[in-house]
Amino acid sequence: MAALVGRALTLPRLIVVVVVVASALILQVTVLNRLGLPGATPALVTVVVIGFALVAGPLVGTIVGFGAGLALDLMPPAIGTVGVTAGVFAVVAYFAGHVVVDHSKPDLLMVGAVAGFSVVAALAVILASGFTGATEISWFAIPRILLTEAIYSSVLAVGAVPLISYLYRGARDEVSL
Amino acid sequence: MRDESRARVLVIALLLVSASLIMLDIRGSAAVGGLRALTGSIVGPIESAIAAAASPFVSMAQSVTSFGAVDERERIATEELQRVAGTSQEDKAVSESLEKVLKTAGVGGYSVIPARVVAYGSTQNFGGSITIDAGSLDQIETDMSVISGDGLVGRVVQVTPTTSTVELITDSKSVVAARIEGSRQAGALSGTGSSNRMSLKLLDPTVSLKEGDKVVSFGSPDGRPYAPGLALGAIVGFQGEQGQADRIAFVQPAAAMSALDVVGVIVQQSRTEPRDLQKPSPSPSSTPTETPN
Repeated sequence: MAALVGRALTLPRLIVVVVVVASALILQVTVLNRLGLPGATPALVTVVVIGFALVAGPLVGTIVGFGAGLALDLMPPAIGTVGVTAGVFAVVAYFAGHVVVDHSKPDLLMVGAVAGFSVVAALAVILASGFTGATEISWFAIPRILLTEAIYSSVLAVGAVPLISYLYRGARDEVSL
Repeated sequence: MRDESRARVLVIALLLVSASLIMLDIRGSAAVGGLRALTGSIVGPIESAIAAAASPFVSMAQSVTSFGAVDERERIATEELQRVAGTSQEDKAVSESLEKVLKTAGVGGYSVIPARVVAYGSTQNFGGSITIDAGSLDQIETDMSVISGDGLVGRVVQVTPTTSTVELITDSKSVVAARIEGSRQAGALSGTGSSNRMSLKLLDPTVSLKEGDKVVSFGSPDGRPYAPGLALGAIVGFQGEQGQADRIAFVQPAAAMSALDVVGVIVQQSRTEPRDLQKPSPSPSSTPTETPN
């Protein structure tokens, strides 16, 4: 029971979710995507979504995933099909929410889980984009994208997930939503 | 347990919502377009502000030119345009006359709005798009060509008052009418989602091509979405044999597509197309576009 209460979405926690996700979205498009790193772009938003799912469970995770995905679909410079990232992130976060790991510190299991789910999310977005518009996809590039995505997500998870864990669990209040 | 069943209902509901959005967007729904425009006008200025603050860091990472003042940006863009004209045209005389055209204000020539890149799209979905810090208040409209110092970068696909979104020529949905510099063979250049590789299909597959051949834009009527004669890239490899109907040439983009910073939006075309200027003029004094004033 205590575990469930410890994960419920309260108003201060909602504020934490909104602030962290919004910052991740802006940093994603203005800084991380512009670094020109080889392979994939470091997917901070994906890592944050998975982080909230690990910390807060499938219910909150699904909401965060859908919201963050929809924002990525709609905000500039997105020109892909609206709804693809939202759907993928909602489902990935739902499953990630069922995984029980210690998210308060960067251990191997947690980093592995984040990397694994972010690769699944990237692959799902590639496939969904392929079926909903993109024409000339260079399929040979996919393994390189997924491998680099796993590496970048592992690095990001070390910092982001314990921070999310700390902020979310710290922001307790009686006002339950 | 109740939490678990609620989560299951929720994920199915949200998946259906996503599927509906995808359907609506594919059918070109005005509602989704409006939602996108609204998000753009809210988020765009925030992106511009954060990008300006993060610029030193990003520039360091990209090792590109540093931040400049507004008139400095205009000067840079003009220089860039002249460089573009120089690199994409086949002989020096042409670039010189184009340069002259550029300098003749009010008579003809490209007018360029300089802009800086504030945001990049993720490459995971084989897209290629950027947001720039100039919008409808700066006379930017959709389907205008966007160039960098090295060549054509893309076309404007969405405009908000202060920002615009540009579909890069490397986006997997992008197709640009192209021609080979020199042989003037026409073809279609498609993006592949990779920032250093595009694929070119010539209309006539029997034409002999070699690595290093330059590819330039063919140009659209009124220069929209693509102005003519802009550098697109160089051939770096082939798939298939010469004469094979589905032969593809791989093209490396002329512009550094993953590290764009200062770009120019072509808001006005030269009255005489650059291609026509290749004919040597009969006498220097009888330029038809020159108007007395």
